[in-house]
Amino acid sequence: MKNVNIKISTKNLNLYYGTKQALMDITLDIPEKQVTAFIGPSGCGKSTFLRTLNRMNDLIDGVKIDGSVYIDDINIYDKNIDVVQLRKRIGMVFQKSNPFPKSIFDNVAYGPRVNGISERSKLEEIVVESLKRAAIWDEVKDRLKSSALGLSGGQQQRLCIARCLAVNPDIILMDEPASALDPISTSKIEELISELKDNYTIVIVTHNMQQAARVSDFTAFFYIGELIEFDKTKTIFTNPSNKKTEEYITGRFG
Amino acid sequence: MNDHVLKRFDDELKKLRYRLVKMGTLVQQQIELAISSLLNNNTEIAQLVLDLEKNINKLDVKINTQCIKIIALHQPVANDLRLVLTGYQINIYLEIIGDMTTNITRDVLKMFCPPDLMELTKIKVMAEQIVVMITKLMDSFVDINLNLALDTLKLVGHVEELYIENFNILTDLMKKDPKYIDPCCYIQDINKNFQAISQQTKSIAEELVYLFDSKVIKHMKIEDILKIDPEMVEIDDK
Repeated sequence: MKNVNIKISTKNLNLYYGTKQALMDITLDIPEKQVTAFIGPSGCGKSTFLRTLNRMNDLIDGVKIDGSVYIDDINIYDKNIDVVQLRKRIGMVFQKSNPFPKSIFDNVAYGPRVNGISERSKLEEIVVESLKRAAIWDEVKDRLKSSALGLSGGQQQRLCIARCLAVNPDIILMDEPASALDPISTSKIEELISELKDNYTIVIVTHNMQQAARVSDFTAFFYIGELIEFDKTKTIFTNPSNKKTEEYITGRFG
Repeated sequence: MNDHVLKRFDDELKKLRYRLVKMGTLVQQQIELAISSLLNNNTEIAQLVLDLEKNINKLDVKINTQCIKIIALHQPVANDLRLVLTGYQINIYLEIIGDMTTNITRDVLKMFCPPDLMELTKIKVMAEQIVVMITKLMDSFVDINLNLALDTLKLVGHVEELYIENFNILTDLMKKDPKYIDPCCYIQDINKNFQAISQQTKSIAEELVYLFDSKVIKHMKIEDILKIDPEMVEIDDK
């Protein structure tokens, strides 16, 4: 990859659920301040791979990982890595929005408070800025004290993105962030992703290939735990190198 | 390549391929008839050319509509996308060739050609060359043969030379004997239409290179095209 810095680099990464190998020898460089999409059929390992990037798989019993994941040249699987500190740098957005049963303000202020910020004016500044960056400020500015659970699904998802931005991460991982949303809410999330990539490295898992084509700069295609092809999105969707990739994106699988 | 999981999409693409082949075959037939009417000064054959024009126009609309429908309903990607995009363009070029062939036929119907005139020009050679180019393009599309598309590109230069040769012959004849002025004007128009058809075949060949090889070679010289890929160097020039 020319003219892009590498933010995340995995080398010979293998992951096992007990005896079953779910990721096989994945070596991949993810560029900084770009959107990288992971695509592939169900069970191909794309979400599992995403969760290796912030060590979320550590929370699952029986998972064994070998190989390495470098973020800014630091192997996040080194023994002396503080996982809590690591996850502060890496925000994550899930398929189903998961706001806390608190006010809109408190949802966004939650992370900064955990990080020790208690000054009201500073918290307000962070909340307003995060909500603006997540393109939801205009819709909630008059009801910051209302429950976040009263927001629509699309608004809740953008609130979760605002909550993620409030702790000022470098990287945002998104696991099918728009799969439960209507087309308009999906468009808003996609537009937001395009705006956020100026400041963040974004990795998105999606089942919607048109969404991958619309929002991402680079695309990785996974199949049965293997990384089959990684290239610029425009190349993957116009002229993929691998026959398997071509068969998958054109709908010729099965 | 396997079939699509969605059979309806597969059927649409197969239908598009079939229609493009049919369009190419109709245009090829039209050109051959137009040449026959020209060389034999046969008005009955000329009328057949004009009749074919209606079928070509109908098919043009069908292909155009089908490409739009496939893009809107199926959002094709990769080789499917290239087929729909190039199919859309190739259809336009073929329809234009059909129009030019009709122009040639209209000239045939209007002009009185002295028996010796056609022998004095290179119109027959040019017409034969055009038939070869169209045939190679059709074979290239059906057989997915990149080299046949590239062969066509190399022949374009020869047609350009024939055009200039014909132009010079016709102007000389007109200068020598006023009786040639009227038929030579018509033949020059035919000469111009054949040259334009050759340019359309060049565009079709460029589309086929994109379809098969994903390379955009528009506005490039043939020498430069050959430099891109060593595999492209071996071209049958005969």
